[in-house]
Amino acid sequence: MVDEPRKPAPYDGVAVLAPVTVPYVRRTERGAAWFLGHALRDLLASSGADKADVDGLAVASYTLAPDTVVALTDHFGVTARFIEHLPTGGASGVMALRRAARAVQNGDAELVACLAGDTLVPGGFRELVAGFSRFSQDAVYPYGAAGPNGVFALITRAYMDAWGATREDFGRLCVAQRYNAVHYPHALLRTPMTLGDYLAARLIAEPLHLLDCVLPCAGAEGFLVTSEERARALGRPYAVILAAEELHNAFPNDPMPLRGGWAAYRDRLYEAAGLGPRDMHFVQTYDDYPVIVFHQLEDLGFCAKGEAPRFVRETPLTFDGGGLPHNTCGGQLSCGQAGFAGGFLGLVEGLRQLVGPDLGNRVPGAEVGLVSGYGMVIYDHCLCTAAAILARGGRR
Amino acid sequence: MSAAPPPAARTALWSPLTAAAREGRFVLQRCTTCGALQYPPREVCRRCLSDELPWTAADGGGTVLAATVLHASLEPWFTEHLPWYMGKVQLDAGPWIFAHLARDCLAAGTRVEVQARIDLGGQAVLIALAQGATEIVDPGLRALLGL
Repeated sequence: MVDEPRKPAPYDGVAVLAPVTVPYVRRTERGAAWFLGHALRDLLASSGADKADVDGLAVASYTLAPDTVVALTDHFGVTARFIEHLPTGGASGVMALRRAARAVQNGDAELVACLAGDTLVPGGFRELVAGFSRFSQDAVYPYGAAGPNGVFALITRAYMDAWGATREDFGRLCVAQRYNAVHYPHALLRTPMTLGDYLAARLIAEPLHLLDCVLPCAGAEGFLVTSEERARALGRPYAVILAAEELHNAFPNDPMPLRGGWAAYRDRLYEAAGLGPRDMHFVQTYDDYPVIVFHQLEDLGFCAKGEAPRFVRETPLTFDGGGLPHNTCGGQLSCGQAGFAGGFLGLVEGLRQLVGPDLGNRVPGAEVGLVSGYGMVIYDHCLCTAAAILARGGRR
Repeated sequence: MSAAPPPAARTALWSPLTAAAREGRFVLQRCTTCGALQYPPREVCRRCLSDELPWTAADGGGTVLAATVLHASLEPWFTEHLPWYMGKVQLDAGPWIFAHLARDCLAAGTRVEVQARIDLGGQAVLIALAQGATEIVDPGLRALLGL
């Protein structure tokens, strides 16, 4: 990019509330709409809003196909002035937030339910990967059919070659996330894990081992976006958006991705928030693989490029470790990846840290934090990136 | 022998590459308007959006960007032939590609020669051999190509 784009308008007057998680399961007979419907039901109960007042729906799901959010308006009996379907996986949480916030600011909707959820069908993962994109079908899947494990093995190898990172460095991150998951009731993997356990896991795609890979599962996440006025009328605690950005197909001429779109808008993001990385009380990154967390820690300014290995050696990443609380519910690496709900997980957990309810892993005094997303391996890396800085509303 | 062939599903855009591979040629789309080489196959030029992208003979010289050894696969054919060697190659001609790798090409920076060959599924696949290699010796690659 040669010219710096115009700065986005502030997200004044927008409230984000009612973080909900429909517990993840490894097997289910239920369809995606069951998980999404339960997320909606839970967020109405949590916010005290009536279904009849929901006039916007933003949805991320791939197992809902051939249906989209359109079908859900009928399925759920919601008459909406605003709908948004997000086929953007790991970036869908922040993207739903941004779209819903603008709709509320502009009067296109007053109460937007943001939902992400997926079911799991036998053989469904193979089918998903085999047909994920045209580029992948022609030029990636035929080369060993490893799915994202193969692509991210190469990205991980390139990172290790570039910066001298070791498996122990990635392991420290995973061990800290597992510690967080032990304290989070909805995580599927809650057995305490040591660095030795991490290192002893079986090989999947060198240098990736089993504990570098997320566990596919079913589940859903949701939150509500409305006006601050309406949030106050509902009498519920809410968060506000200090800044949010997204960028897709950033750095298209990098043959081997060692950075993501966050690096392109990090300065704008912090400038809009009037805060810097050191002011964040927590960060929730998208952790499809540990190396992508390293990219985010660097590109979002928590450490310099190539310094994430040292950063994770020196900084406690547990929710109660006094360092930088990171992926405080254990992230996807411990919770499981409930399809596109993985793109909402960090945002919902970040909201929970700001407004509750407490699920046992509360970061003491958390008032502001950063959430980032990363999604959609069309060819050789994910194209979608997004990030938002959220703060507890009404008290700052 | 394996019951299931390697995955053969491709988009329609892939078929000229397979047709050329049957004649022993490696081709890429080259934009008539701006000259840019394209990969994976596209409907319009990545640089200038022209739809005149004739398939032209391409130089297979390249450098390994990163490689992996797969110990798991979603497809039965590969599962029966693990471990599998795969990597990403920066072609001297411009684009970067995924390829089946010869086992002596796993280190980043290795100079390779990329060829388009027909696999057991009947589709063109790209393989990368060490520069100067005269024959395919890896048992996995030989099995994939029915040699």
